[in-house]
Parts: sequence; C-alpha cells; structure tokens
Amino acid sequence: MKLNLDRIMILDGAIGTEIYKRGLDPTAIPEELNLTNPEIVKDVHASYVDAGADIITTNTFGGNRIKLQSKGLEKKLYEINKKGAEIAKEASQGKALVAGSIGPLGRMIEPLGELSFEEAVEIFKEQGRALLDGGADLFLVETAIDIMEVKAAILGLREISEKTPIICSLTFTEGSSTVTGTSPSTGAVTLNSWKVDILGANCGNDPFVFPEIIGEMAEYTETPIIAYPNAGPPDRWDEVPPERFLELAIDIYKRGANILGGCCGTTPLHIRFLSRELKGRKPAKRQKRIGIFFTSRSKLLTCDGSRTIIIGERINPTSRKKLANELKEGKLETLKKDAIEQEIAGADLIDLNVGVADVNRRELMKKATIELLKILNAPISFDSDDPEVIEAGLRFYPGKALLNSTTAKKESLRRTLPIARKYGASIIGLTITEEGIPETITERLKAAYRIIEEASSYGIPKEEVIIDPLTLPAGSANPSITLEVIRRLSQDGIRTVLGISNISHGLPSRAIINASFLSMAINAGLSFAIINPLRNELMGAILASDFLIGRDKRGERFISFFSLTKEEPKTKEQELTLKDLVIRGEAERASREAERLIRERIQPFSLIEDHVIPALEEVGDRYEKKIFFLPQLIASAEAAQAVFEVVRKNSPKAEKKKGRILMATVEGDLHDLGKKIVGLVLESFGYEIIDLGKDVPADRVLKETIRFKPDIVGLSCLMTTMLENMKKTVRLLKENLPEVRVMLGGAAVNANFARRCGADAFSRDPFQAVELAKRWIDNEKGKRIHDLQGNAHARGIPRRGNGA
Amino acid sequence: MSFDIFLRNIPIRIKTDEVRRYLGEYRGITVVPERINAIIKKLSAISRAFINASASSRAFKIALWSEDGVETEAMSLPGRDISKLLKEASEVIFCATTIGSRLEKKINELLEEKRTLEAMILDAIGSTAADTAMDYLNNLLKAEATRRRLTLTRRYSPGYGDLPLSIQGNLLRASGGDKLGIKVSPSYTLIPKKSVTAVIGVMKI
Repeated sequence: MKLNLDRIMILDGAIGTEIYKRGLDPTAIPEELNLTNPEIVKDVHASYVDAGADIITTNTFGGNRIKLQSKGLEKKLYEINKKGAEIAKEASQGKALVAGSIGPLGRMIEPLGELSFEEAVEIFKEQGRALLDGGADLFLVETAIDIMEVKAAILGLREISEKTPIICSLTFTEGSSTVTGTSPSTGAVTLNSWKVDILGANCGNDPFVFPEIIGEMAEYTETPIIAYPNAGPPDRWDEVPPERFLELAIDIYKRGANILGGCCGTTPLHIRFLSRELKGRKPAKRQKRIGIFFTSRSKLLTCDGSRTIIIGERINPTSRKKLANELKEGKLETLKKDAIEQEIAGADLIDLNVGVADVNRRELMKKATIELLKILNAPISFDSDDPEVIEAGLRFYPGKALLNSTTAKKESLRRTLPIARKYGASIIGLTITEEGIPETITERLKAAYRIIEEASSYGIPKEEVIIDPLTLPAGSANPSITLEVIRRLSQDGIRTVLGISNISHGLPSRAIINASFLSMAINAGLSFAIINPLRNELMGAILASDFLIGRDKRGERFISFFSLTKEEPKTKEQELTLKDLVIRGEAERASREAERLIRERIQPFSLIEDHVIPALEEVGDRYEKKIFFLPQLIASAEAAQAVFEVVRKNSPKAEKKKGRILMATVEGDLHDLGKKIVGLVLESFGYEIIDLGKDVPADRVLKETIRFKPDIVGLSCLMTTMLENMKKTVRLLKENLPEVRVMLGGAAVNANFARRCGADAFSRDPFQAVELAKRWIDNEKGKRIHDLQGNAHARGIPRRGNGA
Repeated sequence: MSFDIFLRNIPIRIKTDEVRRYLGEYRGITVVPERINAIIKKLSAISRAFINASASSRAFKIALWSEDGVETEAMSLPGRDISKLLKEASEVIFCATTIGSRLEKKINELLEEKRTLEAMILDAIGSTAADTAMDYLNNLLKAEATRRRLTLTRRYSPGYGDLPLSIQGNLLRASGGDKLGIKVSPSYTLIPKKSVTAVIGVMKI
C-alpha cells in the first residue's frame, strides 16, 4: 500500500467514539487501551479497513508527554505510542496505510503560552519516534488550533525522519479561523511553505462549512488536501447519517480534497459510504491563485502584480542612533512603535533588522520577533547579512516570511538558501558578486540569474525569489542601469525590489529625487519597494504610479488612501459656518474660524450665542435620536471649548462662567471616564467644572462643596456595590447644605434611586445634565440660591477660606 | 489542551465595529463620520502596543448542588441564578482574563492632556479587547469540550443576576487570575480595570 494522491484516498472515521461503543469507561484514557486492551483498538481499526479505508489513524491522539503526564502515564509514553502503531499495522493487514495520530499538546507555545518552542519540538520528536518504531507509515498532526504548534511538530518530525510524509490538519472552530486566528487561506499558504505533504482540516463546529474551508485552501496551494469533518456539531455528533455525510463529502471532493474521511461521530458505515462512492476517483481540478504570498499568524498578503508591495524600512539601526542605542541596551520600545506606525501607514511587510555591534544579534532577533508577533498583523521580512541571525527570527515565526537578504556570492547562497528552504521563506537576492556590484546591465542580470538558478537547485522556485538590482547614488552611478535590469527581469516574470533612498545620497531635494526614481522604477516593473511608509511623497509616488500604469485599475486604492488623509478643499472650508464646524467636531478649524470672525469684528459673545450653543443643541438633538454617538458628542464639545478659548482670549468679560458645578465619583468607585465626559459637555455649554476625581469620600465632597460654593453637585457611581456610598454622600450634603442641588449619574443609578436617597435629580446622559444645569442655574439667574458657607457655619462646620 | 489553561500575549484583533458599538453606535441609525472612524481605526492599531492580554482558567468538580447555590472543590457560588445555570453541570470552569494596565495608564495620560475623545475611544477599545480575550479563552475551552464529547454552559460573571461581586477574590484565586496580576479593590472592582472573570459549567452531551 502506497500513498498515491493521483486518486482519491479514504481515511478512517472516529476512533474515540467507536472505542466508547465497545464499552470503554468514559473516564478512562483511550490511549492507555493500547496496552491494557489492544483487542478493542484493533477491532475498531479492522472495522474501518473493512469499510474501505486506505489510511487508518493510530489510537495515540493524546499520546504526548504533557497529556500523558496529566494522567500519570508519562513513563509509558514510548510503549503507548509504539504499541498504538503496531496494533494499527496489524489490523491493516497491508490493505491500509497507518497514520500516527499526533494531537495538540494541551499547552500553548510562547508567546501565547509558557511552553517554549524548543520544548514543544522535543515533545513532538518523542512521540514521533515511538510511532515510527511501531511502524507508522506517515504522521498525522491533527486537530491543530495553533499554527505555531504545527510548526514545532513539523520541525521535530522532520528531524527524526526526512522521508516520512507529514499530514497537517487544522481545526477551524469558528468556521473562519482557528482559535488562534489563522484562516483557511492563511493556513494553506503557511503549511504549504513549510512543505508538509498533505494539509487540510478536521473537526470543528459545523461540518457543513467544510466545503467552503477546503475550497478556500485549494485556491492557495497545490499541495494535496485532506478533509475529515464531524458527523454533526459538537453537541449533536450523531446528527449526520451516512447518506447525508456522503453528500457533504462529495461537495468537499468537488472543492478539491484528495483524502476524505470522518472525525468525531463518524462510524465505519459512514466510511463505507465514502469508500463506495469516492475511492479511486480522479481528484477534482484545482486552480491555484497566481502570486507570491506571505503570512503572519492571522494575515495573508497576496502579491499578484495588482499593486506595488510596500516593505517598511524603519526598523534598521543604520543611521538611526536612537534605535541603535535602544537595541544595544536590549530595549524594544522604538522598534515596536516604528513597527505599528509603519503598518498603520500602509506597509504590507515590516523589515526587521537588528544589526547593531557588540550584542548577541541572534538573541536580539529572537526577542524582537517574539515582541513583534504580539503587536503586528503584517508579515515580517527578516533582514541581516548573517544567516544565523535570520534563522533565529524565522524559527519563531508562525507564518511565511521574507528573507532579506542574500547575494549572488557563492558563500552567501550556500549559507542562506538552506535556511530559506527549511523555514519556507521567500528570498530577496542582491545582485552583488564576489567582485562587488556589477557595473553593466548584463553583469547584473547574470548575478540575478545566478541567485535564481542556485535557489532552484535548493527547491526554491523562481517565483519565490525577488531580485534587488541595487540603488546606487545618482551622483556617482547611472540609475538607468538599475531601471533597465528591473525592466528585463520583469519581462521575464521575475519579481524585483529596491530600497530607494540611496539614489539621492549627497544630493539636495532628496524627497523629489526619491519619489521620481520610485515612479520610474514602478513604471519599469518594480514589484516591491522598501521605503519609509510614513513619507507621504513616497506613498504618493507608489499609489499614483500604480494608478497611472494601470495596476490600480480604477484608481480605487489611490482614491481611498487620499480621501482619508487629505484636507478638505479650501473653498469648502469657507462654506462651513462656525456652527457647522462645532457640529462636525472639528476643533482646529472651529478655532481658526472663530479667530477669523473676531477679526471681522463680530462680537465674541455672539460666537457663543449664535453658533456654539445652537450647534450643541443640535448635537444634543441628534444624539437623542441616536444619529450621533458618543465620540461625535465629545468631538463637538471639544470644538466648542476651542471656540470658548478664542472668545476668552478676545474678551476679558468672557472669563465669567454661567455657573459652577462640582463633580465627584463616590468613594470606592474607580470609574470616572463617564463623569469626565459629562463634565466636558457641561463645560462646553459654559459652566465651570470642578472635578474632585474618583473614590472621593463623602466628607471630602461636603468640605469641597463648602469651599467652592457650587450651584450644583454632580455625583457619579458605576458600581452597584458603591451605591451605599452615594446615598451616604447625598445624605451628608443634604443634612448640612439642604439647599444645594444634587444630581446623580452613572451606570448603577436610576431616577428611582436618586429620589429615594434624597437627591434632586438623575441625569441619564450629558445632555440631561445640561438641561438640569439650565433649569437650575440659567433660569434662576441673578438669584443666588444660598450662602453655602453661611449655612455650613450655622451647622457648626468650620469655615474655610478659599485657599484652604 | 485541558480546561486548565494559562495564556499570555493573546493576539487580540480589535474589531472596530465592536468598538463603535461600545461607543453607542446604533447600526443603521447612527451616521459615523469618516474622521471619527479613522481615529477609531488608528487608535485600534496603536492600542496593540498597550494591550497585553492574558487568560487563565481552572476546572473543579461540583461537590454539592442546591437551589440556593453550588459548592465546588475550590469555592462556593451562592445564588439561585448560578444554581439554575449549573443544574446539569458536573464541573465548573473558573476563568479570568485581563489586558494589563498599560492601556489604562495611556487613557489617564490622555485625560490629563484633556484629550477626552481619544481617551474615550481607547477606553472602548480596551473593553472590546477584554471581551475578545475572554472570547478567546472561551473558544479554547469550547474546542477542548468538543474533543472530550462535553458541552459548556454560557459564561456567567459576578454581578449577573444574584451572583454577588463579593466572590471576586475567591474567583480570582480559583481561576488563577491572581497569577495574571489581577487584584480586587475593597469595592470588588477588578484591577486592572479591563479584566473579566467568569464561571462556565461543563456538561455531558
């Protein structure tokens, strides 16, 4: 029996559920049966062979050290796995291949968990060795929920046997991704780059999403695909009868699967149905997408020529003192900040270069990689002239990366290409030979083809090689040589990349030269550009060039990028009134417009009366109707305050506030963002806010009320457990200062509670607070409600001066 | 994987539509301007530098069930609502997740600089991240349950129904949340604020 994927092969069905049917105690460990009751296990295998399975899986799913340790069986690891393979081998009678089942470890690998990657590799090796010794024909790494764990398994298993085929099967729990965020397409590209022999999916929540999953995988790989769904969702495993399961399998087959079988809940009868109908059929035709792909754990980057791919160049300590110094000290703050900023600015890949002197660069690369994995979505381009430094990063990378860079020098190729092959990375090859940078077009092309040919001899196809024909300073070399090399390579279907900034070295107006050269290179066919994506002129050159040469066909990318970042045209700005600007929450423009109006001799106060207040009223109205949400409310309040500032500057009288409101979050409660928002909105309506902060004891609220003599005290409380403190605060205020108006707010409060505890009102949101303030302050203008200090004194509370 | 999980550095992906929902967007009614949306997107990306999500869970057998509460090997869960939830359960998983305190510090800095809009959006991002971390843990637990032919109840947190907040301290210890650096204030607020604890029941299918 051989693995022949020119025809459809059939995998067996569920092992666990079949063993349970034969009387296994649900609390027992299925793997232990290999030693204690091998006949039961053998019987299950035999039933699947009899049903027509071409491949049967060993009863060793949980046979790794971590899982066995938790059951006190770690000392029997070797026996359990070896015996598991032997039983299956015996049951197969030569009619089926034996796949050594390797399930998840039960612990997450760093940085997601605490298990070290290398320890995981060792654990997989341990299990794999025992399975091989028992006679397993192939390895089945199944039900994988974390792509990094799969990587550890592949590396470990390859280290014990180069030749034994490896099948990797991911579980897409939520349909669209694994638990750790890898989608079917991303998983397919990644596993393909790691050179597994067969990849696919098993288990999962809903078997009926499998055709879609397999279809998506098939678009991104030519590697054979395996699919074995459950016979129903997790809580209804027996739901899908064999007839219906066959229909599902036929659907999956049509989407491109090469091996079909069943997971939880499937029985020998299910497999018999598949075998009768599908076994030996020619696989359905598949059409892989054209392009070169890169992945991170959760992102797929497709480079299919439809746009220039941007590689962010910022993480490179060359001529960046601050970054270099930080890296020397092992600090990664700037590195992380740069990575995120570049991704936000539009970098498709992030170049990672930690090349500083006098440090262990391998350790630093590993550390930087792990840190970036926590924060980045974009795939990484590992950049170093030392292949060992690159390997230190690649080993911990849960996706398909770019290796930057190798040269055409024999030694460089000899050291770099095996690493690229081992970890499945694409490479950037610089056209530098032993003699240096070739001066002529022919020589540079020769260097490029030397890299491509050599890569090919290592099994790295030319599609995965990106040539950098090098940018030399325009002042000392002829840039047209580089451009011509790009043109010729592009015509030959070879991808090219350039770092740009060297072109303008030593010249004035560097930005203009860089952008112009970039545009020319794109016109010549450049596929990747290594740039600083935070430089608008370079991003502009790329987007405009892509648009003009027809890569960005309808200019959608160009338009969407610039419509997000561009300023509104000037004419439009003048059309917007101050009121409009406050409603739109554009603080800076509102401030400029207020200045302009004052210069035109408009009375400062009328800006508030005629523009700000009506604008805020309208914002309140829209907020009430839910047309606006909270951020718009805040943005408008901030814009209103910007106008207040201008008015204040231009009119000393404007210093006078409409009234004073003291606010506090009650003792024990640490949440005060909501209260701050209410304060901001009240302030934007012209009230003075004194914010005592959070966790404020009742007696302090009273003391400060006496000190500041506010018109209103606003108390907030988010925690239900702190409502008692709110009651206490209200009681203390009302006992000592019965005239003071108290309004309450916060998630834990409602109108009934406010009434019960003696407060004057409850405010649901910032605008209700404004309404209350208007009612209590504006409508009673001129009439001072009370003399707080006097009242307090009368009750024996010590009088305090303003400075107290 | 077992139900005893300890995870650091969970890769949180912020869903901006979820952040907008936190900020009060009513789908189909609220008109979100592109400018605000761009700020949300930008802060969501930047927030990754401030979020360090971790999770912990441990499972314990139910020792005694009554209508007024449930006793587990690790702690008591008082209340009729939790009893109802765990009626068919044989085990209880205690869970805790946090995104750490750096985001909170950043929010406070922004507030001090009077950048309320950004502070508020970042706060909503933090809430989304904390939920996402708990969803992440929940998904892992679900996957494990699936493999073991078990099923899980929905998750339940102190403060829901009549399950008192006063169990937070015990719940943190039982779940291993204290090892993640989560603490409880005297008023039972979790510190860091963007932390979540929960209880999930395990049932046979």
